[in-house]
Amino acid sequence: MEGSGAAAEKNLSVKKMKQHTPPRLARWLWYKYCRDEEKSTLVHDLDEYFSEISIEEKRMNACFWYWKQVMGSMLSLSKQQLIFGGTMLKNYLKIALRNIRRNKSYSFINISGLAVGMACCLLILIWINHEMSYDQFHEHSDSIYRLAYVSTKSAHQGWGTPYPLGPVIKDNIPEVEEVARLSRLSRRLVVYDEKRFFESGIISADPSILKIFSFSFIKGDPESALASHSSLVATETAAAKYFGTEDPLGKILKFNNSIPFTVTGVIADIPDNSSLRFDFLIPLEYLQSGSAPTNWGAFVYHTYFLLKPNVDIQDVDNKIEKLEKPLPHKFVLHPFNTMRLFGINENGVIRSISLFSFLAFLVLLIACINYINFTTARSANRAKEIGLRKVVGAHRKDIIRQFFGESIVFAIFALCFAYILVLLFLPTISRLTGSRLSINLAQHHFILIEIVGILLLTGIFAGFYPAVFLSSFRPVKVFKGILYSGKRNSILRKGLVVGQFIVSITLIIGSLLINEQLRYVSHGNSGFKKENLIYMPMRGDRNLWQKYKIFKQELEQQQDIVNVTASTCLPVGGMINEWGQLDWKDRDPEEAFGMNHMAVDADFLETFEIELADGRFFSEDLLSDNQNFVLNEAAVKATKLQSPVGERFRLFDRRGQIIGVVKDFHFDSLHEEIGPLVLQMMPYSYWAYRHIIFVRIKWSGVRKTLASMEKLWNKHVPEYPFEFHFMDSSMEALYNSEQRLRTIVRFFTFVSLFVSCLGLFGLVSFSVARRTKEVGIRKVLGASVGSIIHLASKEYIGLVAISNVIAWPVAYYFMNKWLQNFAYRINLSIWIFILSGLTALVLSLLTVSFQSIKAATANPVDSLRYE
Amino acid sequence: MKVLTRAEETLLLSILRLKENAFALTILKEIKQRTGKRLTIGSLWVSLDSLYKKGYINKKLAEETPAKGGRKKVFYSLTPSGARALRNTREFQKSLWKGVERQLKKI
Repeated sequence: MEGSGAAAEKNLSVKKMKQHTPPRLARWLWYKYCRDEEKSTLVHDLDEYFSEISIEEKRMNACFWYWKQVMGSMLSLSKQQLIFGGTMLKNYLKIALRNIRRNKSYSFINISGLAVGMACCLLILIWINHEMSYDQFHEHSDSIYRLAYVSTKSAHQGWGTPYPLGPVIKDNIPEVEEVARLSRLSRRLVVYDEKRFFESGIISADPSILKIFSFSFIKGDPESALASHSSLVATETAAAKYFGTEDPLGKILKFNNSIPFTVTGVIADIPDNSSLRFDFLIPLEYLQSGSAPTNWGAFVYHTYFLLKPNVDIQDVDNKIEKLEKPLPHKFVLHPFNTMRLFGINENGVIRSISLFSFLAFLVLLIACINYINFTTARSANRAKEIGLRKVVGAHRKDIIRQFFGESIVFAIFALCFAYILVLLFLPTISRLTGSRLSINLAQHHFILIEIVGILLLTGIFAGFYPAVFLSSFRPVKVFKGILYSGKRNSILRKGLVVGQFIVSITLIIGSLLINEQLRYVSHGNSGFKKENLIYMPMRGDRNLWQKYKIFKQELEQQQDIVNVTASTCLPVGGMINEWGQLDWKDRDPEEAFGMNHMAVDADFLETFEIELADGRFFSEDLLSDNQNFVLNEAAVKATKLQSPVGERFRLFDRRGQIIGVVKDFHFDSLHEEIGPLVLQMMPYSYWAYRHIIFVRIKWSGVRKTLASMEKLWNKHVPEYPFEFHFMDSSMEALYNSEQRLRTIVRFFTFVSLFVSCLGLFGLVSFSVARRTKEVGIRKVLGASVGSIIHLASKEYIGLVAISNVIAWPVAYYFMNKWLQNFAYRINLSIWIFILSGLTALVLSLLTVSFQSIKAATANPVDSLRYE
Repeated sequence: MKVLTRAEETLLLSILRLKENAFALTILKEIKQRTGKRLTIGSLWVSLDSLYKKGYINKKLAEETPAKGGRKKVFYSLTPSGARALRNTREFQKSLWKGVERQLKKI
């Protein structure tokens, strides 16, 4: 075509003059549009006409005429094609709808399966959208970076950075525009008039934080809001909590009954998708009374930078490394707007995102397999239609188009149901993920594209194989009655069913194992008795400690209280780890070494019911015990002391003896090995304003006990509200993310099992329906009900058994990997695998037998009446 | 009896008049000359296509002699059924007009 076109053009240019060539773009369009051989002659017709016209008219007019011709022609030709295509489409749609209506049960199974799969995908997508939107609302979110230290021992990173580092970096590296350090305060009592609440969302930060992040101010001025040492910025909700409808500006809030702060600004509530959250913002100087500015040792401040635009981050990292600082650690910058996704040490949400979207995808795949299986199993019913279509001139591609269209029609129906499911389950998912999710089509246009994407994906996924297979039917064979025996297909179908059950069984094993492990971590032996243990944080001013002794005495007099003790920190998750200030006999000075330490009172051992391994525990009667230490077994091992009791030991400025060794108990989550721990006797001045009272109670009268505790609290500590927690539930909170995983895996297990069984149900009912007559004859000839049930079910039950064999190693591999996250874990017992396999087997047996019993008990007269 | 529409009639007559030389460009010019209507080449194609589907015309993809330019063209010609349809239409018009011409002049 090209060749002849070129030849014609050459001829034309010989005959006519050069300027009589039509406008190039229009001609190109027209040329591209007229693809088939006959139409391509039109190109040259028009060329010829143009050259004639361009002789009579001005070139401008001729070109205009040509454009009009091309556009008008394309319009009318397209219209013609559309009308013709439209009638065929209408026919396809009609046939598809008829098929849906005629086979209601299959359509229902198909559509509901697809709907569940699509709903899973949609829910996960909504969640992913939410996670991706994190921290994007700040004006400079692309240029904000957060500093992390890299541990000297391993590649471990942490957000804590020393106080003086940020400004040093800003002064020495020109790429840095702003720096802000912030520190999260522990819970404080905040008081305004009669209103008093414990607040945990208090952040102290450099004033530049308001330049780096864009929080929208309702009242006050971001430039000057944190200028004074005692200024405070509150969120709208937090301000309303204290001041109601009054104007908060200029009001004074008191922290811990003593330190006054003046409200200088109110910001709009921080959006849901912000990883930086707080209720109150106060200046950092508040904390700095004296020594801290030069303290390079305390890694407790978070440092954020605003860099100049288009700065090479690698370059800045290198410059930071070259800076002179009195620390061995390396520091690196992390982009702020992807912090939520990637985190540090690979602890971002990206892992759960990929896991959950993979699971959702699997469920959709299982639903698509159902569709494929049904369509190919019932292909005999469509064979004549396809044959006829081919006889009257349908090409293979037309048939393929038709079946793709059909699967998309199914997908559209399924999408409608999926949308309803999404609306139903969105609140549940919001609770699970801990973020307020919403499906707002008007607000997030992107979700629309994703919905259409899922629709097409499902349609193509489900429709591909059936379309290719069904369109391969040869009309001659179909009408001769030679149907494809479909051996290949039935193998494929079986393979797909096995695939479905592999996924389901793996998920069952997964959720059972996660469950077992969680039960192990929360009910297993932790080395102390965590049940019936209540604790009350006694944070606040230093003089609270003065009241402890008398408060303790009165508590102990209550009849249901067994023991009372106190410590400087909660033995749950993350204790203070001290690196430098430790010494003992024959310590290797080169070895980097850290120990957790905690000060307790003499009743600690008894209250927690921890066993003593060696020596003795602290005694209140011995004054010298104030200088002495008790270690745990892990610490003894770490210090390599042969007989620790009686050895000298130093922590900070205290020098004393090791008087005893306690057995190891879990003061951290079971992800971690039990670390070395050193105990000291209270009171210990360094932590004097921070302790926790533990009360061991009898469970019988817990309500009454709590009431009497509150009464005593109010008597002794009236300036603080009474607050208590249960030790076991606090320990459970260490496994929040595992619990979430358990719920979600359980959910996916249920869904995938449901959809797989749905598919099995459909396949069995189809094969039973096809064999009604066979069953009738068998029964007439004397087959028992049992043998017929066996006949109908054995095939599929066999498939589930095969799936078990494959699923077990797969599940073993993945679960073993997951369990590696725990330092203390359950054994992978074979029983869980067997139990999961049996569950799947029993469920599929139930599904299958529903149909096979129906077939087996049917009266053969009904099925053979018309023979 | 099948009666043609005015557009179909015009097209068929043009093809008839052009004899062996009936292809898109000449038909387009013929119609413009006779009726003053400016069709686009595409819409002409669509109309010709529908005539072809109805069986009134034949089409033939042929190469011209090099002397005439030597390129491919689609030539159209009337089928017997097309010719019959034209005759029918003519008869129909005649019968419609029969005896009313004088009346028309009076008004």
